[in-house]
Amino acid sequence: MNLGSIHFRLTLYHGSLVAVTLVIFALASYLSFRRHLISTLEAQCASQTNQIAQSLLVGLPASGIAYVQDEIQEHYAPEANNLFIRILSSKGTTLYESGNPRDHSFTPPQLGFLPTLDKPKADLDPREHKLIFIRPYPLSNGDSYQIQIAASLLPVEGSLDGLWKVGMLLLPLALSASVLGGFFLSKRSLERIREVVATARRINSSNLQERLIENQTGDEIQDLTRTLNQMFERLEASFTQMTRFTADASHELRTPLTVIRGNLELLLHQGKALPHKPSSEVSEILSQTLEETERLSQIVGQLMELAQLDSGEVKLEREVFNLTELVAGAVDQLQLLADDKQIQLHTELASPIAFKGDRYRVKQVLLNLIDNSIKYCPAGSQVCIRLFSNSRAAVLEVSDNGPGLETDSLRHVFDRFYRVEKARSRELGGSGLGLAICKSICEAHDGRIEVESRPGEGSTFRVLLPLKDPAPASRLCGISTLPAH
Amino acid sequence: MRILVIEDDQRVASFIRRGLAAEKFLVDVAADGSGGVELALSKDYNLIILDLMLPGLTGQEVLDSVRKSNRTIPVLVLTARGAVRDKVELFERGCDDYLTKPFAFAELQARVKALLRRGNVESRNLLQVADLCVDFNKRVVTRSGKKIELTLKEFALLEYLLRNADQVLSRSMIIDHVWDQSFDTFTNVVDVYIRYLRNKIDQGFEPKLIHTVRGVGYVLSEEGAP
Repeated sequence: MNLGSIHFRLTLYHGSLVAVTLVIFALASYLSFRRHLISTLEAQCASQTNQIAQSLLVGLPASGIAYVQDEIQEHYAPEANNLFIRILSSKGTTLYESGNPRDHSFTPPQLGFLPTLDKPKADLDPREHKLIFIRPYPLSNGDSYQIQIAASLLPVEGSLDGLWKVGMLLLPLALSASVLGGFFLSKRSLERIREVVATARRINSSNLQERLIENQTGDEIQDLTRTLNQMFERLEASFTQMTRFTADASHELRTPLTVIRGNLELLLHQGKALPHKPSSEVSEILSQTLEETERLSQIVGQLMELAQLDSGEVKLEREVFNLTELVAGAVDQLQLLADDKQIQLHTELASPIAFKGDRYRVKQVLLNLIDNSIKYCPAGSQVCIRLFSNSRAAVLEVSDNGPGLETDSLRHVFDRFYRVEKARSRELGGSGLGLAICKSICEAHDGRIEVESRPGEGSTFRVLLPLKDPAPASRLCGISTLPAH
Repeated sequence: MRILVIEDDQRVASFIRRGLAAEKFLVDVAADGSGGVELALSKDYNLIILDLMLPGLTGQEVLDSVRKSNRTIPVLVLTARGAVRDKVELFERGCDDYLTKPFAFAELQARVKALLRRGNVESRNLLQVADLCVDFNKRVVTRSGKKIELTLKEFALLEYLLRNADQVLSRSMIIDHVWDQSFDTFTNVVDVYIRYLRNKIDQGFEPKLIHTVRGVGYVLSEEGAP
């Protein structure tokens, strides 16, 4: 489990909160119950001492000690009731003292007459498991008595012990039940967030029209889903707008470009037929303009292609072909360009790989990558083209030991109109759209393109094309191969 | 030779008309589909140049009506779309060739001439321009009697230039014929091959035969670039 996840933290917080609450609640119950039991015992003692005082001691001068002793013994039977009663007088005599409680739950206190005591007093002696209650009782004749009662705390402790045991048993049970419940509850609600995340992750430029399913639960997740959907809505709108704009712009540029180009050509090449043949200077200017117009036409064409790829307007051909053969063919076609620049092309090609996709566009990617390496590497460089596959994807690498790319450039090489060395690449005739087209083509095949490079150590462009239905090589036998030159 | 241009954009139609007229073609222009069909059916044209995006009748509808009455007239389609699969689609729809806007006029001209020549294709096995002789049967190239060794690709390139001598060929036309379509114009492969070919057949000989037509392409001609 991810310790940083909301799920874990939620469970942890929830568990701790429940634990603290339960413990506080249990402690409070325990203490108040204990207090209740003790005060009940105290009240009992108070009432007993009061009775003794009010009904027996008050008549002591008349009735005599023996009567009082008999009465107490008869009424309270202290030993049998696990009580201890003692009556002291201020003169230091003991009027009455019961024996040890029969259950030996406590030893009677050894307490003398407390001269300073003027109101009833209760003493708790938990160590000795007893409660001592002393009530002073002055008589009108000037004599003063103190009635001591000690009661066993064992019944109280027994009840508390029972409560404690129940608590010890129930508390962990309740705590784990609540943590478990919290775990599953948060899991359930987070599960939906996870679904939302997974769906949102699937949405990219090629399926921007897809939306998350909005469950009408009226909760925060519905809110989140709706917000995300609205965001996708806006993204799609601006993406469509951008694509539309590129397509419209390049489309609208076509006709004027055709006219400019055609008229320039007429001027230039049919100038002979004109009454005044254009001077060589004019011809030069016209030629330059024509060349630039051609470049412009190319850029417009490529922009159009990008827009079509982005919008998914162009459906890719899906045919199974031999990728290895395609790569070999492309390398072969560029061999002369490489020879011309004294660049060596090496190939490491896997045994035939059957790939389902658009043969023409995949080849375009290949030619573009290899051509780039040839263009930007100095004479004597080496370009290595590797093709291999694992169970999921075909991997094509074009690496060179040329000048490499700065880290800054790496992030932008697939951007439209991005040029690493502005002056140089324009001189080499690039439009700045080649790699952007490669990227779009790879993505249209659900693949991707990446680059690794270090300045001075060369670059590696890697194309990963997923093999959706890896066909056995034997199936390739019947497939027509690329035309030879 | 009479050519019908069905194109709604007046500026495009106008330079096509002027350009083709300079090549001694008789050119009629129709600005919309129905006018185009009317003209196509009323006069005897050798070729139709048809824009696919037309107001009124679409280019496709025009093509269908023309094909109903005349199965053989060559139709060259101008299209704004450039994807390769369109080519197959367009051929299936009954056109004979197509050009994507913006196109070079030289290319239009070359394609027009190729379409008009169709049926009586230059199939001679021996061709000569100045003192350059090529025997396509034996695959032997000589200049001033000296035998020249060419690679397969160079030979294919020379054959294409020679069979279209005096005709400016754009890089994309050369690529289409000598390579395959996926070879987009982003590579300078044509220029490199042309240079190699020049080194073999023009270096040390006069007059030079292969000429660069700036902004358009190349031409093989005894007289120099147009």
